[in-house]
Amino acid sequence: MEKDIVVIGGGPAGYIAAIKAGRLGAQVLLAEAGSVGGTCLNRGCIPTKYYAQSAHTILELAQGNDRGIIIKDPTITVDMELARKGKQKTVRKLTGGVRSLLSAAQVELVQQKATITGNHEVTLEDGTVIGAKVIIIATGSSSMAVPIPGIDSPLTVTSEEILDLEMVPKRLVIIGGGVIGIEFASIFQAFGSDVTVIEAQPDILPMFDAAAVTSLAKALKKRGVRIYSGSGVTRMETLDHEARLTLADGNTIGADLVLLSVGRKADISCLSDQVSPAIDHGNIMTDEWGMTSISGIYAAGDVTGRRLLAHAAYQMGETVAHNACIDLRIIADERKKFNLDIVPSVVYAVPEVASVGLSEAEAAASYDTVVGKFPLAANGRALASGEPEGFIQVVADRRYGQILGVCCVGMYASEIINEAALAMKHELTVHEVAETIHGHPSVSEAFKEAASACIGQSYHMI
Amino acid sequence: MAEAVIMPKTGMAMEEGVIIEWLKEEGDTVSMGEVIAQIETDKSTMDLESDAAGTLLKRVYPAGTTVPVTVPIAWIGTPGEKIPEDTPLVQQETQQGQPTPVEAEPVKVSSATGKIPATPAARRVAGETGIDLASVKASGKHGEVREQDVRAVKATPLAKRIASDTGVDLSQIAGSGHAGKVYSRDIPVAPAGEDRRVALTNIQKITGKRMLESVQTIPMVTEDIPVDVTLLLEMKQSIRDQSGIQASVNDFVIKAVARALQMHPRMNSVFDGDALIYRHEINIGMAVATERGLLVPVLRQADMLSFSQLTERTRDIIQRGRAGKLGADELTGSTFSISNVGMFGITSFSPIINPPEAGILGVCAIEQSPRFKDGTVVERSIMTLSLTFDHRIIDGAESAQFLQTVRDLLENPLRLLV
Repeated sequence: MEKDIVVIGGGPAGYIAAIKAGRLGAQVLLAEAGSVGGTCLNRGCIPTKYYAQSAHTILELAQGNDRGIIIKDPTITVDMELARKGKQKTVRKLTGGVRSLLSAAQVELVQQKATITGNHEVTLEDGTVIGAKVIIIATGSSSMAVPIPGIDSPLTVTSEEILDLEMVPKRLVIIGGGVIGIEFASIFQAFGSDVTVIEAQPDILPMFDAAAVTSLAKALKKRGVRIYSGSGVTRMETLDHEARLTLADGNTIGADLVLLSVGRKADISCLSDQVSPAIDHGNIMTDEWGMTSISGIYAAGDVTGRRLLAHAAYQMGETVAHNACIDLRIIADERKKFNLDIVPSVVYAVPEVASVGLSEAEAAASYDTVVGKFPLAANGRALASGEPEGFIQVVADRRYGQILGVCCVGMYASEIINEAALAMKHELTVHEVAETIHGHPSVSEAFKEAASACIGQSYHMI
Repeated sequence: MAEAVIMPKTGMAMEEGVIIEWLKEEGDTVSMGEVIAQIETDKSTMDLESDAAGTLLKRVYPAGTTVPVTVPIAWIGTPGEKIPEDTPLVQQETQQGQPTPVEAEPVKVSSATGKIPATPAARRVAGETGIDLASVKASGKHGEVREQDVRAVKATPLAKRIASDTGVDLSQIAGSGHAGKVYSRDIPVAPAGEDRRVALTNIQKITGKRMLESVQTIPMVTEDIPVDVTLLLEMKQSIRDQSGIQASVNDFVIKAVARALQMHPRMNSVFDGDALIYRHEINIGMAVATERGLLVPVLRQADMLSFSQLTERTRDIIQRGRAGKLGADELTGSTFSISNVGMFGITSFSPIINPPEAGILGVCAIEQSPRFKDGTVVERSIMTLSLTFDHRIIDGAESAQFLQTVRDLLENPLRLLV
């Protein structure tokens, strides 16, 4: 069998690459050992958002009395079995959707692990050898392990395994205060766990604006989440159904379950001795067009180590499919580069934290900046919704008003950040945002106000 | 080639204007910025200033004619020069006095020697966005570039701001965005350490010409006078405390100048060859530095305003001037100007007259200085005023009297408010 393009991995980078190339007319085969949709749909973004919404609902219910909503039996518990079923239903709907899209684009889907056995050859698990004019590696990433003595315990779970718990743990210790760790901290605190986060670095969420991190950490602590930062775990002991973690500073913490979320590493198990493109820090290296060191083999998504985000993977997948179709003379166009300069990132905790572009500190290092910050405590929609915590901050260049970075904390932050990304991508400055009428009342108005504040024109702030 | 003077479009809604009166005869010499006619729009009467210098070759319509905006109403050039024949475009004395534009070939003006025909709004936007009018496809009925034509050049707002700042002509750049839209990344960045040639904004061009004309034609003298503003500063603070009015020292100076001009009307006159024209209004121009160049917004009938009105209007026109949001009529018609450099710590300078005015007052920094009072040294706040005047109109003693009047008013500020 010979194909124009063989895509290995059916996550966001792989399935988008396959759909795009299929629609352009290429003969495409997509090999995915598990279910299409990759980590995002099956074990990452979507399942965690299902639980994040449950957490949000629980916390909202707790506010009910203040709003005059009388809930007679106030005991709220989470039945993990039902929760899992609900989550699976959502995941099935979405993966089913991806399968239909692949099929409509004439992509041949094989549910097998694939190995690259030649520069133009892929071998499936069952021994089938497929010739490929172009190979696209989109095998994603998986949870990383750390060499902590005793960590290899039945009480340790990964971010993927924790999604399928049968019951809510009493005491959950999360090792790693990155996006994944913090999201689960927020979820399981709401579900009823006693949560402790341990971060070896001085601060949790190091890639976000300090003001946003402080605000989120404060909210989590208020909810009872303990955060130990600046001190790593040196040892873990497991006794029956209890774990005991020893920190570098000598403290010990007891846990019924330990979530290990210290980062992710590229999955390069599709490579073989015959084919080994250049690797850097465990990631497959590519040029700006997505080509690996071997001509005819592209890579896209987490496996490149560029930005480990599904939406970055979509962009990379589309780019390499476009470029591959030009190589194959299926289309005549200009080759595209990976374009990951404006990529929003979100922490789906309660409250949500979202950012795009440079942080205030990063921007100040290269520009003469001006900062506009608008508190949601002054936003009508947020107040009426009982969620006045948080703010929207715009960092702009003083000279032209170019928006360099936006950071949101609070209600709808995950949605509003996309308005900021749109403005930044297409170079609207704070002047244009300030001139744009925003619907009232809406939380997005705070974005307009923050942009206006950069030029001294926020009329809802002193 | 002769340059056309067009019926200006001074507001969004303006479609036509009436020539009230010609102030220049055919054959007269006209200088740049000189008022050649009075025009009435639907809102006001305004002076029509010439954008060109030369001889008034032709008045295309007699006074009283209604002419659509952007249509040439006069031609300026050198005597004997040929005038395009396709004017007039308006039939005179039509029934019911309604103007009937005649369909005609667009007015052609050579871009090498003449001015690109464009509406004032198009010129403003071109100046703001760094777009060369010559490169814009004109859609006007008579071949003039309209505002929308300039705006049609596709570029992101950020790219437009950068182009405007660095003098890059966006219409010459191939954009990398959808349908050739220009992004900031498409604008070439001059390597550090290299000379850069940056095109002047329209405001800078006009300012340059007027300044040169001013020093070449007006015999100017500058006199300085120290003013003790200690009391004034106290009063400014108590006004702020008691009424909340955030007056500036500049507001007091404008008030004092308006009063002094009433008392010294020659300071508010124009030299006109063999006569002086005494201006009946006192309209004070305030030099304001903006990103695009020097602007002189005009505070009309400053002598008629109460102090709080004056404070409010001054702040309003200065702010709108900085934002580039002043109408044409707010930038013309001043009879005397003030230039304030006090905020930069300057203690004396010689401002250049804004022609055809008789004088300009420079306001300098306030300094804490020792002064003698009853044999002892006291600390006082001293501000210097630098007055430049047209020596054809005013002599040194007369100007000194004007300065004394201003000084006395500022040193006894209560007199300004009653």
